[in-house]
Amino acid sequence: MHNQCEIVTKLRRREFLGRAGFNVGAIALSSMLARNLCADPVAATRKPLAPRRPHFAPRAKSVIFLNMVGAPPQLDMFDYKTKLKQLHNQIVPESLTKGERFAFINGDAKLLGPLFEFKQYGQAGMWMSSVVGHYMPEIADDICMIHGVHTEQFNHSPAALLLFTGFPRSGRPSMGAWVTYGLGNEAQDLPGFVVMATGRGGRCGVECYGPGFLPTVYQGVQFRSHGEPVLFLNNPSGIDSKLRRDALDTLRSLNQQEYDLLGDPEIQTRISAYEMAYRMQTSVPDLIDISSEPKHIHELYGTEPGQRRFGNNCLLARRLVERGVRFVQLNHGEWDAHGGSRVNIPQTIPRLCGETMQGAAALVKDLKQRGMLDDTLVIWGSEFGRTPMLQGKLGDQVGRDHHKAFTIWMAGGGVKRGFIHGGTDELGYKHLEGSLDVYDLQATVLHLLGLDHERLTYKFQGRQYRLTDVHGKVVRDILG
Amino acid sequence: MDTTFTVWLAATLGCAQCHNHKYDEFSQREYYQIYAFFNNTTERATGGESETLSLFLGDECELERHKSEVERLRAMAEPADNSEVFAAQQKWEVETREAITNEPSVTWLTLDPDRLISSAATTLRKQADLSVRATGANPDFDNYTIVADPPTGKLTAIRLELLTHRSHTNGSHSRGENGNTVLTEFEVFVNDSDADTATKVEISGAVADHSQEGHPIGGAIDGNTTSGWSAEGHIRRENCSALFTFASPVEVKRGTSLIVNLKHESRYPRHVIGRFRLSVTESAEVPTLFRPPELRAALAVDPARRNPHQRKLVRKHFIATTPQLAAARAEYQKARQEMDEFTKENSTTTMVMHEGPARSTHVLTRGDFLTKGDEVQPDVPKVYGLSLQEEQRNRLTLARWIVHPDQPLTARVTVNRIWEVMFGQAIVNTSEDFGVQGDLPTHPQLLDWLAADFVQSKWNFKGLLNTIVMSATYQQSSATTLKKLHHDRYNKLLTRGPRFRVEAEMVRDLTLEIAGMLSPKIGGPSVYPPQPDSIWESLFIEAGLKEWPASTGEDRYRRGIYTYYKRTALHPMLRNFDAPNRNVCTVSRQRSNTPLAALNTMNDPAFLEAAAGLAQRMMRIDGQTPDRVTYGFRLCASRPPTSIEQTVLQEFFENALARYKANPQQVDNLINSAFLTPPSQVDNVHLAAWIVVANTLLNMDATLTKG
Repeated sequence: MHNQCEIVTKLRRREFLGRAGFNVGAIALSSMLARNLCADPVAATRKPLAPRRPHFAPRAKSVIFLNMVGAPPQLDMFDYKTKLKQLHNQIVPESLTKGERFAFINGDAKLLGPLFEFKQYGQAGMWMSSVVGHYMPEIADDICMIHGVHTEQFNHSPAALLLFTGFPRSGRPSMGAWVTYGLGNEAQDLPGFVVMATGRGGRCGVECYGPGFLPTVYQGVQFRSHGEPVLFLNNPSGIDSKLRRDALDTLRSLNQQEYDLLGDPEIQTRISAYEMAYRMQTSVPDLIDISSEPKHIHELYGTEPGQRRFGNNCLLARRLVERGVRFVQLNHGEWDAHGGSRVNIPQTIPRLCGETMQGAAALVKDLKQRGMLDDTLVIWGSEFGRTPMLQGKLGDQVGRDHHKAFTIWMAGGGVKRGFIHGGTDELGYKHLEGSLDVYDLQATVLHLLGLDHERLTYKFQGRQYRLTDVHGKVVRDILG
Repeated sequence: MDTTFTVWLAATLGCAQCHNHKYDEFSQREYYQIYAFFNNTTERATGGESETLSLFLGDECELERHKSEVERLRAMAEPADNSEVFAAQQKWEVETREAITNEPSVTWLTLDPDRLISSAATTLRKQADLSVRATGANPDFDNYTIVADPPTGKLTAIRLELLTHRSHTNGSHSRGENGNTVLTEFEVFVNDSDADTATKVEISGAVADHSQEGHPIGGAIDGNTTSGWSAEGHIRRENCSALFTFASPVEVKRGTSLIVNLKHESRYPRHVIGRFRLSVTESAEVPTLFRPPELRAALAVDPARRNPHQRKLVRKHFIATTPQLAAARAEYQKARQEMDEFTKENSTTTMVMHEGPARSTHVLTRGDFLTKGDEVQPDVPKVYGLSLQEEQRNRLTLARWIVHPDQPLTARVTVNRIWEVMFGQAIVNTSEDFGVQGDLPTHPQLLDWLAADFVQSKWNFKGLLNTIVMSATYQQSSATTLKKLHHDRYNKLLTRGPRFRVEAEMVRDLTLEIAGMLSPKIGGPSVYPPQPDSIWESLFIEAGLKEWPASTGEDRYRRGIYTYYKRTALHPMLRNFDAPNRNVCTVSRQRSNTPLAALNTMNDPAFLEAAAGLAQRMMRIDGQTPDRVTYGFRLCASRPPTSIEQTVLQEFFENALARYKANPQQVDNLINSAFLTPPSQVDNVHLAAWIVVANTLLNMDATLTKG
């Protein structure tokens, strides 16, 4: 029989360290640093959503991300390329596509000139096409148009995951979760991170607003625009709110008794969780009920109360942010215009713009007129863009394939107004030097919120993780 | 391998994939040396492999008997050449040549399928050429049903074309391992528009232009699931056809539809036809024997001048079709069938990883799979101070190394995890990381002792659990005092018994158990407890299940661990109570305490159903309101209520009862919300009041918390 003592004394910690030759001090320091920013998980559950101060003075307090799921065709909407127009219907130069991989088309596809008329707007001479409607031009002087944003992914799920979680596979926390983790929640009776969706579905499911390995309190809570706004919010039919209140009072007494007997602080937390749930039963419907907003606001957003509409959700986003919610994500799809009868550029894109542009522009205008635009960062973007080459057949069902360079715009929250940043080459194919990549975007967004993307970390599986993984730099050129 | 080392050795091996581990003594080279143990899977990224293995568990002698009988009869059905056989063949050739000259010509009309149904969630797509192709899910077995409107007339036969496709394995007939198929049954039904049910069409005969030995076309019309037609798709990657003659012509009028079933129920998983086309004919005479072009050509050649291939072909066809050998053939087929049935009855399938030959493993420079460094052999990291004890280096020897008595970590890591399960927190808090970056044990000698004891007991888990629960430490009251909280906030010094909210699956289990509704059934496929609509709306699902198929019957009340797991849209109840999404190995779960969880236990229909179950249970006992309250409370809290608790609950019940008496509509509403089928002969007003009481009891902290 082995000497059990011998077995168990093997590899005592000291031996380990001795052999490794590590300086004990160095280890202690790193674990101290770790404790600084990523709270001890048990303590984190104490008050995980309490508002926290950022690393330095922020410009923005909240973020509203307008996520155009499936990737809009930037070359037909915002990124105007005269050369592309000239070379319409000609084979793309081999020098561009050599060695590249595409989602669906081959390297010998034909170029597709912009399908709509472009004009310039605002002081910066921002190009916008007719398809985006007349609302976007009205805010040209308030937004920062960013061209040449680029990513390495050209399939939807990995690209969406990369944009929202910093890694093309699932498992990591989303941007909204990181932000809520870093800053807490100022809203009293609402979650800190809210997600809403209209149009056709998303691509990476709940992972694009999930907590990953962060404590689950930081997850994005989906407010559904039909049925119950929050899952299980409503009492079952047959239990009215008065009876529910009585039940909760009873529950509270019972839990209080338990507490008196056992003294476990978690019981108190549970009591307050139920109280918060009760408050949400009124605060959330109150919030969702947009009928109390004045008529001119409805007209501004083009809302259709009672329907699932992007415009309604934009108005809701403003209401959420007004109440202190930290991160609002609005998904709208399906922009994936490969061509064909289902989703193409000539027919589908005008419809989608009709569904979204008014609301998006209204949101910026409304925040501005309320004096909220300075501390609310609005981002309009997607997971990637669409190729200068066509997909499908030239005609009224033509489309474009996935492309790694794309355009987004931002407004408020400390970004420059009426400004254009970055760009693509003359065919809209490759991004120019100095354009943002997805990690830079994440770093910059965090920066505007007062967070250093390299310091906002969480320890998991033995190392520190952050939203930008090991990449990203703040792009100061767009900071106002 | 990362998962293996996390679970058994609490090692963060993943940190050494691209460079030496920054903190622990794992070199990158050692990472790939471990990788080498695992580098022998046969998985293909594009799928097509089977995860099931069929194992024969019956009497081997009996199987041998079957095999010899089959062999004996085969020799009789396929006699070796002798003068008698030779003469018979000559005669047959003459007859056959004549038959060929007199063959009728057949016009085939392709059927345009109207509806395509798969029994196993395959997506069947009609192609432009009216063939049907299987896409999407690639299940082990599937039965196709095709509904089509045939042209009017009197149909005499139907043809099934087995078509290749580039997406099939080896471009052959199916998407299974080897591209082969086994069609166990081909059925045709006719449905007149004015008839209620479809009538089965009797098929008198079938011919195919090619069949695999032992799997003739007759197997597809013999009403037997063990026999079927195979066209040797693993060898021949060519289109094939089979034609089925109707016993009597089928009359097709306007509005008549034809329903065709293609069944794949053999014991070979993933031998499902990938692409096919159906056609019908009115031709009066349909060949009852198929003579492929190759055969015709060979027959046309003078026997003395045939090449070996042609000679073989003709002889093969002769053996297979000559009436002289028909009886022998039938007996041989029958024996084969019996053997197959015997094998199937005595076999079981199991999920298994197929081990292939070990591939050569290289260090990947900076973890880049395109930059191979030195080749390495399987070996274990030096830091554990224990080398591999055996010559052979494979998964088994690695497993033995992990549980070797001289392996210092495995036992400690394991007892630490079990401790965490029982106490809600571990002795080493970072139960997934025993490395330098992990936490120190709160009770190192305890950990050592438990580990040594565990090994000595021969890794007896029940013994370990017994030791823990019988200890004075575990049996302490979980009541805490301010003084204890002050000195030992998180109970790391174990100044009181454990107290923590149960895991997600257990929240469901205990709720159903208290309600008397939990199904004790073990095993089987995953189930689908109720889930709100449109949870999957935000997903992009191209194939397979598109909607949550809520279970009914017993499966609705199964244990939480049987809930179907969709990682991109986890069931909200699991999510609300911190079940991991299973994208990475998660050793410890969080324990959140949120309003969303509160809303779940209050308002989730599944929980309301359980409240109704508990209410009924409470109403069934003999006694009055106080007895019912006590009973319900005890079921939930595992202790009797204090007098205050008793009073509070009774008052609440009376209050609810009065409300419901005054509001019968609400009673109906609640009963309909809480029951799939409302009970009869019950006082609904009382039941409604008890449901609300039960709902409250099931939400108590005491109910959801262990300790």
